[in-house]
Amino acid sequence: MRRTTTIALLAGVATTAFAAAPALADSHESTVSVLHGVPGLTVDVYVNGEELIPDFAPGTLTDPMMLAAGTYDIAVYEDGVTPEDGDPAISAEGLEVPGGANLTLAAHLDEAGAPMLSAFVNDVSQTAAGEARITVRHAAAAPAVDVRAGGTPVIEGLTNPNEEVLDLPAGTVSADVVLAGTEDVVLGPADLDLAEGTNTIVYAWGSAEAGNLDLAVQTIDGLHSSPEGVPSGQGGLVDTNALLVLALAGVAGAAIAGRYVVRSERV
Amino acid sequence: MAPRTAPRRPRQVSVVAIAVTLLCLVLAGWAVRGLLQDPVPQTADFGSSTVDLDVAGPASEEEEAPSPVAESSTATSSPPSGPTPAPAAGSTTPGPGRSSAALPPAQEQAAPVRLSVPSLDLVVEIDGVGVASDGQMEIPEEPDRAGWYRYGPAPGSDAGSVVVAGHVDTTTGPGAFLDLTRVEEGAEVVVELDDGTSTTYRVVGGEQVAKSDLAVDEIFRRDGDPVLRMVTCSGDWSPRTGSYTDNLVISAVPEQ
Repeated sequence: MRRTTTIALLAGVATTAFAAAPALADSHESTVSVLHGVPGLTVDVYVNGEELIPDFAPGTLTDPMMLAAGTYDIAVYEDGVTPEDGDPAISAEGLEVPGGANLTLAAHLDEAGAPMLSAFVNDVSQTAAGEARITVRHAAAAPAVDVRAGGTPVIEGLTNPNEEVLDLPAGTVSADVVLAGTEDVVLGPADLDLAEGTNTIVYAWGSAEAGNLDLAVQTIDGLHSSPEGVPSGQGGLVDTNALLVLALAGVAGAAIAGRYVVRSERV
Repeated sequence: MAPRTAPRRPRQVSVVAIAVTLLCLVLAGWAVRGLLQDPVPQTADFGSSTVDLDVAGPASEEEEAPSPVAESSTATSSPPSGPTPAPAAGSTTPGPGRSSAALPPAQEQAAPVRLSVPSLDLVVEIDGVGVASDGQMEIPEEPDRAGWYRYGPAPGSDAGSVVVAGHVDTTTGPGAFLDLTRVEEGAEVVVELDDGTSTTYRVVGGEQVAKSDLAVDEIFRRDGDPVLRMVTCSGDWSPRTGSYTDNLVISAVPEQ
């Protein structure tokens, strides 16, 4: 009787388990965030000739926007300059936005210090239960660097405009950035709170020469997955079957031992 | 010499046999007593055995899925979930919402420290726990403590499932949540947090579920209606796997 109750309940639970499937991104559009990582220059960002982000200050990040898949022309003008009366500070023509992706478009300096645009694809795949993802992007006018966590290099020889992605146990890490292969700290140390189920994207931006290197942080949450189960009993103490076996064993043992008693009395 | 030892043997045997007999009888008696008490949690013990594990219900689940609100105050964003970005609230600048990308200061979240069920005289200390190396939720080693899944919502959160799990027993005796197997629907559950606040819940139902069928994505969900889920073990003991076959999941909703 106990069995049947359990099974009946199982059916109920199994149906609800699949009701909570996450909404998947439409394959015809992508999520796009824009990061401004060029020091000292407030800008207006034009997309296909339309002003999309006016008065965009360095060190700021837009909320995610949905952009239809397709080809885009991006032009970044210094604040006050318009397409009619001047040239863009940075431009990129024919930027391909695929469907169903999560992108960050970053305006930043290249290794030599010239402004450029990079479109990074953000890893929004699920993380294992208990883990966090960290993405480090080199978007600064600086040579190759190593990223250290707690003093130990975890990313080595990262160059502009590249990235490195790691999945780590969630928690706070003390991170710093050193010139590749050296102990020369150029950024940090800073405490990074790597939240479980979140991709924490860290940009090194600015210019080493100008002394304005800085960190920018973007987080994408909701990537978590669930633990596989809950192992909350070890002893078998409350198990009916175990008790039944013990009871039977006890009686059987008593019967056998009892026969010895009787037999030995007879001798 | 030889004849002397021979007659003694029966007496020695009988002493040992009597001892074994008594031991077996005691063992059997203890086991029978356990059987009669039957501490195994039964779904029938709860006021309602048909209460759906999903307190929110499938209908509201669907309503919650798309969240078109763009977060405006922080740089935190969710994976593609809404059709349009909303401009930052209160912002006079046109265009998409935006925020500083500066390194955010570490945030301290209040954590639960104690769970009590007054109707059962049950008071259990709580530790924040994560994930064990085998991919399962960690449970505190001390049998009298329960674990709160610290990556999920904390008690008092306005969304998601707060998971607190405790042993029903361990190799050394009863566990923190053994008494929970007797809880009744409508029972009050108070969870105290380390910031001095507390949240009161009411038990709305319990489910006994085979572990292999435990709806972990529902139990550990981080959005949807707020619920407290107290999880322990039940069912039959499997000596082969060294664990119970089932989980017992008690659901409670915040008191308004």
